[in-house]
Amino acid sequence: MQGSHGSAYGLKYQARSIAAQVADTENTRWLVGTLSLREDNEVHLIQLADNSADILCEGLYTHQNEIWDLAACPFDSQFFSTVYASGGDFGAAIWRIPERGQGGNRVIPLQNVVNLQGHTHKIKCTLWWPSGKHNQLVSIDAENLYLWDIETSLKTAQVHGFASAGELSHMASGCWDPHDVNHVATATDVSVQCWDLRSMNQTNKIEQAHMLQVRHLDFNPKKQHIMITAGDDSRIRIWDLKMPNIPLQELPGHQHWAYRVQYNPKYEELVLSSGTDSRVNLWHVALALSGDAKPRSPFGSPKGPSDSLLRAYTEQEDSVYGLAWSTRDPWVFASVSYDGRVMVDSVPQSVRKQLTSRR
Amino acid sequence: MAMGQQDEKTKRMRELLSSFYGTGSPESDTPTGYGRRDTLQGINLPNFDVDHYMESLLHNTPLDRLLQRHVEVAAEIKNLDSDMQMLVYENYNKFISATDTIRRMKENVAGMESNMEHLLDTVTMVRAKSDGINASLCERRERIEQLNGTRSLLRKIQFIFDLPQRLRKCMNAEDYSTAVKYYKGALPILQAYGQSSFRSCKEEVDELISTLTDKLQAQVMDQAVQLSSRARAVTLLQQLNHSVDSMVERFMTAHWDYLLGNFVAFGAGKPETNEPLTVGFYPQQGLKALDTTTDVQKRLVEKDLIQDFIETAGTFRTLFPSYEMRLIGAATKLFDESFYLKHFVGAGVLISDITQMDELVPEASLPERASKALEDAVRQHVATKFSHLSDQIKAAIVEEPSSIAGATADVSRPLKASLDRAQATIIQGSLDVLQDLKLLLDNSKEYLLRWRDEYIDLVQGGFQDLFTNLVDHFLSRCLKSGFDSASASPDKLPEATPSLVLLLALLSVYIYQTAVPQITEVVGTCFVGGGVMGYEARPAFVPSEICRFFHSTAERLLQQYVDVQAQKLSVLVRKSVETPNWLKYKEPRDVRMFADLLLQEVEILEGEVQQLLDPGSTRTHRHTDSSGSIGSSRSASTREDGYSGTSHRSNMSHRARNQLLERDVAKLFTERVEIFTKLEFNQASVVSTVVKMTLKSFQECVRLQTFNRSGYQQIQLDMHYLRDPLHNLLDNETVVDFLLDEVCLAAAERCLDAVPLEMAILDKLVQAKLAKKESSKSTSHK
Repeated sequence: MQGSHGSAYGLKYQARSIAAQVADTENTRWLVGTLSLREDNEVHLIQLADNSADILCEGLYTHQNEIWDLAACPFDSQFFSTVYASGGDFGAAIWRIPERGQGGNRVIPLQNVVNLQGHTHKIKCTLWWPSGKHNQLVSIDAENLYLWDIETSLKTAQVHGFASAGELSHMASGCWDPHDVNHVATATDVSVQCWDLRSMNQTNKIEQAHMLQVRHLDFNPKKQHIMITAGDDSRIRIWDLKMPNIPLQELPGHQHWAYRVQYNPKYEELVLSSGTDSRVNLWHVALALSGDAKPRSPFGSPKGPSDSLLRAYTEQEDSVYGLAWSTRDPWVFASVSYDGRVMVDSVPQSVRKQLTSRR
Repeated sequence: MAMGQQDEKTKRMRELLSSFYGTGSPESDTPTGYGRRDTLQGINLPNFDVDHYMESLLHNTPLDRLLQRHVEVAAEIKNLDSDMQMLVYENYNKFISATDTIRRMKENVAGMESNMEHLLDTVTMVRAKSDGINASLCERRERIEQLNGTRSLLRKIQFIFDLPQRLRKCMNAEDYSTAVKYYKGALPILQAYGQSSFRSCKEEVDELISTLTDKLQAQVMDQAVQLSSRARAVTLLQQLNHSVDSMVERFMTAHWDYLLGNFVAFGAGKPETNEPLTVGFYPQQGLKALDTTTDVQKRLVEKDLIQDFIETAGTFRTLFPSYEMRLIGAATKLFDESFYLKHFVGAGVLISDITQMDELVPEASLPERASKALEDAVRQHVATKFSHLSDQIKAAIVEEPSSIAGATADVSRPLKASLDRAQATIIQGSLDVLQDLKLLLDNSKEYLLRWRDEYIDLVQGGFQDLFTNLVDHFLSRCLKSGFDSASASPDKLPEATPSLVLLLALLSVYIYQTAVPQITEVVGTCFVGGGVMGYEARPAFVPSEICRFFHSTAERLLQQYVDVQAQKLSVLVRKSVETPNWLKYKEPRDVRMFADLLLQEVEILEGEVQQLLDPGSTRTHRHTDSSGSIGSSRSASTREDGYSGTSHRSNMSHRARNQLLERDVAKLFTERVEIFTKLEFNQASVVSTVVKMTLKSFQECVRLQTFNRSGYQQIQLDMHYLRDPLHNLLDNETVVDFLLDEVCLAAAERCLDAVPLEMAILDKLVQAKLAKKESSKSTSHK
């Protein structure tokens, strides 16, 4: 993966979701779920070959319903969860990747571990405990947030807690705070809500994070209280939750909706975002993000700091809905576009040098 | 043997002789290596081995040679004997003469001793007599000295007793300096004995001296008396240890305060003309008024004042030469107090007079102070001008929304009008300021000469600041003022309306296209020079930088405008897609409301944009088939490929590559449409960008839904209805068609049972809708 061009992998169907297989630290692997309304859907386990730019399919599993979101279990590479729908039905389930049979690359059905039942609205995403082995999981639908106790061995899931964002609200996604495990943030309409999982109450709120729907959000992996949001107004903003009134920084974002945004797990300066303008953008976010160093000039002033866009990846040709850094190699990431193409790209060499020399 | 003995003897003799005469044996220090001890050459050495020599001689030498040697030695011995005898004789003679001399000396000394004893006696006697005489005279001498002291004391006392009389006499003769000299002479005694013996005398003298002091002081103060005698009086007073300080103070209070009062009165005498200048409300009128009406009168007053000052300072200088510092202080104070109040024009006139003042009081560095005061005044003036101009421009912009709200009825193009007004304000205001400052530069050439460059830098810097502040102002007005202004700026402005954003964008364009070049030209012709900061430092006014700022600001603001408009429409579209339950949708009978609303909004937008922007070219979309362009395009073949067979999974990556290849090949044959083109400053670009963004949002929203057949058909109908009006609005059919098709395709993909409506039915429904719309419009008009 040293070249400037990424490698591509084609899926049969349209797709929205991709997730790095977090528990597998040996290989650079992702799970991709397809989104096909009329056909049986698939989950692909793909791997980036160690010494070449080839993407190999390490497993292909059938999943009947179309997959709207997918999340890998952080402690056991066998488990992952999907959010699915088919026609008017919807649901979320935890699956177990079956052992490979002697047939090699045969298509195998997934083993259903447990369904998360009880949602009354279309489910948006599931969040695993941020790191380490723990039996709790959060699922988010348009209006509600559920906390589940999962027992994978017993195949049971029980609702541990429940919170509602209110009637007619639109939660789009959420993120579990890696610094405080009692803390989950959700993208609710134009705002960002923070929830305490012990009391299941809202603790903090960014009233107007974006002009339109907030699509995605991610916590800074190194600094507490810092988060990044992406919204339908095409902007990307960085927030300090202690100062929810004003963003620390704003990135120009995309030309249409900014759909996904993710901090690099190792280098917090690197931020990856994808949008419906079919681009994947790699940003450099300055480290000195403290309240005192607020820019005097308004955002976007020609006198302000220059564009922090490191590179725009334009290989995708349809809206890019899925985005995931590799857990093993911090310089590699994968994106999936609606037309079913997975692109695995890497951070440019010059940027790597700059970041590693600074450490 | 006998020969050996003789040898030894000879040697000893030689040693003795040589030691007697103090000369070392000549051979002793000539080292002769071989046969030193047993050859003849080594005979004179102290360690000459005679036996050895003899032995070797006897052994080695033949008889005849031995005999010959014997003869030689015997002859040598004889020679040596005679030499010795000669020496003995010579020394004997010397000894005899020495003995004689000693004997004679003995005789002489014996005689001298008795003479000496005699002399000693005599001297002792003389001393005794002299002591006696001394003792007898001593007493008398002491007395004479005592008498002498008494006499001089008496004379001094006499002088002191005479002192009052003398002083009086001197004073009568007005010979004050002699009086002071006498007094100074007597002062030590009077101080020492003033309390005892000479009390009365001292009192009298003191009285006289105080009279004298008074007289002197009076003389100093008396302006009628000649300056030189006054100066001498001051010197005398100083000699009398009289404190001159108090006099200086008195002089100051008498003359200087009067002068100061005059100056201040003069400075404050024109408050009504000065005030407008500092406030800067009607700067030009104020300046002119000051220049014309009061100038003559003011100059006269000033002349008097300066004359006064010069005289006073001159007097002071002569009187109190050692109080230079005080004078400088006073002059400085006077200067500061009077000129601080005054305006620079007055100060400028004073400069030449100050040169005169300067000659008198060089240390006070009045010209520097004057130009400093002048500089401050000018700086203030320039700053006021610019802040006033900045306020004016801002006010011209703030005015805008209210005028839209208030006067839309009669003015057909309110936005255009306010844009024109703001543009006029900017250029006219800037040119006025320039004109005004130019006038100042021309009028006061000689005063500004010294820092002309600095002044020019000041003016140029003023423009630089003005425009950079305007950039900030524009941006902070427009860019999400929600959280920016809430925390940062205390002057919270009302949130900018989209039309204001557009207005500001165009104003920025105007500034960098027209205003800045024009101003640069004027600055270039009138304010040549500058750059006191040196070549390394950047010039104060950088038009290119300003243009760049405004260029990017204009683009950003236009983008902002488009964003806001697109967001508004996107919200509409999103609601229309999210609200219905598409899975239970009933058969479409009519175009939905939102389509009309959408068209309405686009028309309003076009109305706004038409007022301010050029129509622009119709060709805003390039049709490219090159790679690298971003945009959404999918060919049907790709999709079909996706739907096709699933059985062959043996070589996944290979197959994936094949798939990609097919896709890429298909891409080459499909025409691609760029959705996200660069925004340009014309109507077509702005409107089409907004529409494109909206339709793209539509597509994205549709992709998030799942439809039944009727739902899909409804979307199809809506798109069909939008097609014609959007064609008319955008003049670009390809992109509209493409995007509308994309929406339909997205709906088809998300549809469980995608059976499209037939064209005929679609047309019929649209016709019905249009007819209904027409009738409702006509009824509302009636």
